[in-house]
Amino acid sequence: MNRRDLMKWMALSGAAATAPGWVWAMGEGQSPGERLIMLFLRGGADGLTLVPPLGDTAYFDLRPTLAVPEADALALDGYFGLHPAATSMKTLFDAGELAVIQAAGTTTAERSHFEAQAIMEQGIDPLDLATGNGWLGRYLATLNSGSPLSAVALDVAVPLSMAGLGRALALGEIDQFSLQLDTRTRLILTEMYGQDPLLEQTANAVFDAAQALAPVQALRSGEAYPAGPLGTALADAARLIKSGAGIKAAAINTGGWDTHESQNEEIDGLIGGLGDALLAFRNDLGEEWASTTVLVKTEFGRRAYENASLGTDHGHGGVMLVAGGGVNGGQVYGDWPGLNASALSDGQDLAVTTDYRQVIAEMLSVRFGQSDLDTILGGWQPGPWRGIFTPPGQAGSLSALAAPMPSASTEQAFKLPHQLDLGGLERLSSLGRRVARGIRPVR
Amino acid sequence: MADPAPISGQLKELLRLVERTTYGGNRQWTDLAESMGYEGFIDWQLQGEAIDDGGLEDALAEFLPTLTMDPETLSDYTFEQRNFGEVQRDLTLATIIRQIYSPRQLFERMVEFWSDHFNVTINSVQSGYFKALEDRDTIRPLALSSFEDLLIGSAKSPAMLFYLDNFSSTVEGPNENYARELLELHTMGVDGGYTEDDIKETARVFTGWSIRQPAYFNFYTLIHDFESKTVLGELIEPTGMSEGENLLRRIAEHESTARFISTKLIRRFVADDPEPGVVDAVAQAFLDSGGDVRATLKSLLMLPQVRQTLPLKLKRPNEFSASIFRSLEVDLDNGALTAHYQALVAGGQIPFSWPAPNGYPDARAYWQSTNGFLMRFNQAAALPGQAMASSPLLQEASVADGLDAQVNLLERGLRPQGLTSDERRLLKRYSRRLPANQRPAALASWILGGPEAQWR
Repeated sequence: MNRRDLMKWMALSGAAATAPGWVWAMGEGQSPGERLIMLFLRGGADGLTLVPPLGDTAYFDLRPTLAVPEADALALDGYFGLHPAATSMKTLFDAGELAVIQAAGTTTAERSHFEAQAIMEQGIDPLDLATGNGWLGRYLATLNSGSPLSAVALDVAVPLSMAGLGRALALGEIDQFSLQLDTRTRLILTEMYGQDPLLEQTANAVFDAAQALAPVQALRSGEAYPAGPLGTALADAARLIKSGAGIKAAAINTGGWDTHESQNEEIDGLIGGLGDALLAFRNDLGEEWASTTVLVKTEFGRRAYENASLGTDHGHGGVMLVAGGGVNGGQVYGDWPGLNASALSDGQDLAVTTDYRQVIAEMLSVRFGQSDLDTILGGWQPGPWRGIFTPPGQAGSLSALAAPMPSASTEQAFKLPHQLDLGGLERLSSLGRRVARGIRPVR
Repeated sequence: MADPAPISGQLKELLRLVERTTYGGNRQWTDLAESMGYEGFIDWQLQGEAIDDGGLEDALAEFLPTLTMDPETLSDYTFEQRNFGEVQRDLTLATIIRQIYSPRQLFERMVEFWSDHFNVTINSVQSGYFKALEDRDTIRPLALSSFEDLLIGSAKSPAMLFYLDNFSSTVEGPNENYARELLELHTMGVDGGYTEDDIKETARVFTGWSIRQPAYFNFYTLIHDFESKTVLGELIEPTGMSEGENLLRRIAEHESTARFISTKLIRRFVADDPEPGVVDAVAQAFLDSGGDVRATLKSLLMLPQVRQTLPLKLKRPNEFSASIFRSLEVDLDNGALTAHYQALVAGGQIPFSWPAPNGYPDARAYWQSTNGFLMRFNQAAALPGQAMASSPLLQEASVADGLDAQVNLLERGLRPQGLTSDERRLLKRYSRRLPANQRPAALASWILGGPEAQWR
């Protein structure tokens, strides 16, 4: 069989359609390596409610109705506490697997969601230095991974942080990622998209991903996750890791944090749901947790003082969380600038004392062995490491942790309708044709 | 049989116009456009709700009862009688039916544009109730009128007052949410020249703008800030509600607003990254006409640079799926609606469900995703087969004499701009061995799933 015959056989038998292109690129190191889960809290999470500074009396003056009472908070270190709904986060914190970085964020006070997110996702500051691609994308571009699933967004689109240089895939929900084409259609589409340089890579990525996801889809989740998109995304991330699909990074978005109004009614569920999802993910991963790092960030913190809507407006300094087997957890990192009037950013917001890139730099260096941070962070120079992470292989053994306590707060009040009830609409049939027949241009 | 002759440059411009201003062309719309010419087609479509809709709105009103209920009846029906999902269902169905089937295509495109621009997310029964009323009473009646009217209508709509929290903003602690997005997203744009202080002062101007039950705008004097304010360098004397109305009029005609709205219109209709010269021209038309939507659109679509611009827009999921139904001339039935809605779910574009106040993205960088193309491939592969019986185009193709005639007929219906020679070659090569009765659906799937069908 010569090459031409082989091609012909493959086309006829469907072998060409079922052999994923990336198979030829496989064969490098079999070690699963370190993985990063980047979780972005969209909307600007209120760090002063998530990790209240109980030791700062100004906090209670600025937040007369919204401050977390000291008696309700879950005490962390004598100064800071966790919101009472964060019981699962407390479990992780106490196990030394979750750390908090307070007063973190962008140096430039940027109070537009979209501008602040664009800064943080590109790994820059200020926005004038826009690169058009993301810091995570630049990190991934330094890796030489043969797997099509090495970089994924568990969302309908790839976020800016992951965009640009790598070949990140948007998978949506993994169980929904099902390609239903016959062989002939698959082959002609491959040929047709070969003629469109702008779309070819995306088309091929669909074919590769559909192949590569089959063993992941066969795995069931090992833990009960909170219902909703965040739980589903973290459960999918766990399946990707456990299946050995070669994942290096996953990006997850979760929204609802823009709490301008009735903040206390909304934030219990958000905080409880975040913690419960993280703890379920940790327990689901088992030993894989030792080589997994979760980075949680948000575009800004919220206004130090509350508004009359029982909410908070856009602020500056916020909170970052890191979790994983290689996190030096159980500590609150970062210098606390205080909430006295003279210490506030622009006289109104928590100041930033830890540049968000400091955490990214230390994580990439210590956990992921990156030596070339200049390329990823555009020449920005981090300060000395804070000791937030331990190098791979040096963490102690993992102990068993209790599952999240099922709480009413994580129930979803409103679900997007994924099916439309079409009852009664049968009588609309043929309306389209009637309308088309009636089209008469107005003169 | 010979391949059809290449079409003229003039016809290409006309077909691009159809693709830009509708949810996709088909044989009937090609004929309509050819009979009217470029400017005539624009003028026709700009008549919006004056265009005879063949009974579409009457039928929708009959079968989707919440569409026409007054606020009190709808409130009672939704909250007291606990029909929680109905209002969102009816609005969603009406929206997707209108986009695919209404003859008022440019009007529906502008309704979608303003729905994105003045985004109100339906994320609760309450927000769905408000949104449905705003869609009917504000966005749709004003979609082709003046930007100022839209802006004021939006500012006073319970939907926006509730969504961006202004309803609870008081002198005691103004809520900045609406003020910020008003300046950043609705009018001047983030680089439009306002400051953080302007946002704070604007928030004070709008204190007291709130909701009277069940769904009316009301200005509450008692919670309004009756001190003077300064916005964009201009002193605002405390006069009450007129402070806000005057401020809205002032920023509606601001040069930054003209540029921002014009840029977004060009981005929607022509290209992700509008050329500065085109923005200049459209912004001038916006200013000259006092923000008249029709005049601005006409100026945009008539610009020589726009007429000559090749298809650079990657169709969004709803545009892609709607264009399949339109090009196949599929009749309205539950199968089509279900399939289209599934495409929106899978593609991540359920109407009124984008979670942030900036509206669904309008850029290839966002929509060109693996997840999105999975949906496109699956839809294109499945729909022609499902629509075989209800598609006149596929029916005609199934009785056409020979492969060339089938390809040419489908080309006229699905790709009037013309297949590329590579496409034609591949289509023939892959379909030759198929039984003749399977060819039309397969050919249609390949034409609609291929790269050319993703652009408009």
